[in-house]
Amino acid sequence: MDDIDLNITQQDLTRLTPGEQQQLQNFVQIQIKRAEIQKNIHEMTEMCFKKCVTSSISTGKLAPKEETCMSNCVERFLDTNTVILKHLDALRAGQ
Amino acid sequence: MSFGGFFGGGSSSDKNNNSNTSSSSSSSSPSGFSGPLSSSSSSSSAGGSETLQKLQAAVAEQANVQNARILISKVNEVCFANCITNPGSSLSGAENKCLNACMEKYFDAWNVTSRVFTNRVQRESLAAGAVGGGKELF
Repeated sequence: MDDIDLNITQQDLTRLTPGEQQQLQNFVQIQIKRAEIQKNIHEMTEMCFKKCVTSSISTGKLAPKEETCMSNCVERFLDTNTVILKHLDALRAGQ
Repeated sequence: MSFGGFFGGGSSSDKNNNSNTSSSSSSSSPSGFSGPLSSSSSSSSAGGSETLQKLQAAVAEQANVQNARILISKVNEVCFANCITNPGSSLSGAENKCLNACMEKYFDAWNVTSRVFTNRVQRESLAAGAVGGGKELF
């Protein structure tokens, strides 16, 4: 990854107030969360696109049928996650 | 891919983060993931020193660049598989058209996924809140 020149010195950093340090920490936390969510969206998009767009591609918009399929695909994938976790819980409880 | 953390694994800290998100970045709460390449623009808020703002802008910028990279590499992979079924000595006009359409369609699909996913997460965290405990979503 490219290095970016922030043009910030060590001294600048030490001058951050405790409040600003906290602010920065919160900000980074949120960005991490965001990146995680986006990663999930990327994975699901890829998976569902492969499932739902099966005919040859001629337009840049999803056909209504494809859009419904995408939406269902995401919902069902999340259901799958739920079922798996539930069952895992049940298995663990039964031990 | 694990949803554990997001769906309630570390619920208490998740809750904090979520509330932070919605309070500190007013511009991007519900439709925060509206476009695959749209920048977050969430760094606009808050005063703070110049250093803080620079740092936040740099972090947000990197996050956006990274997101765009992932998206483009997925488009590459998926659309290549879709459009170039029988690689010839050069890219045909039809293949070219297919690739362009595929890319736009993929963006479209990304937006649908993002919308459905975000709605679902919101719905479920609301439901969890209504129950009271919110310890486990399921």
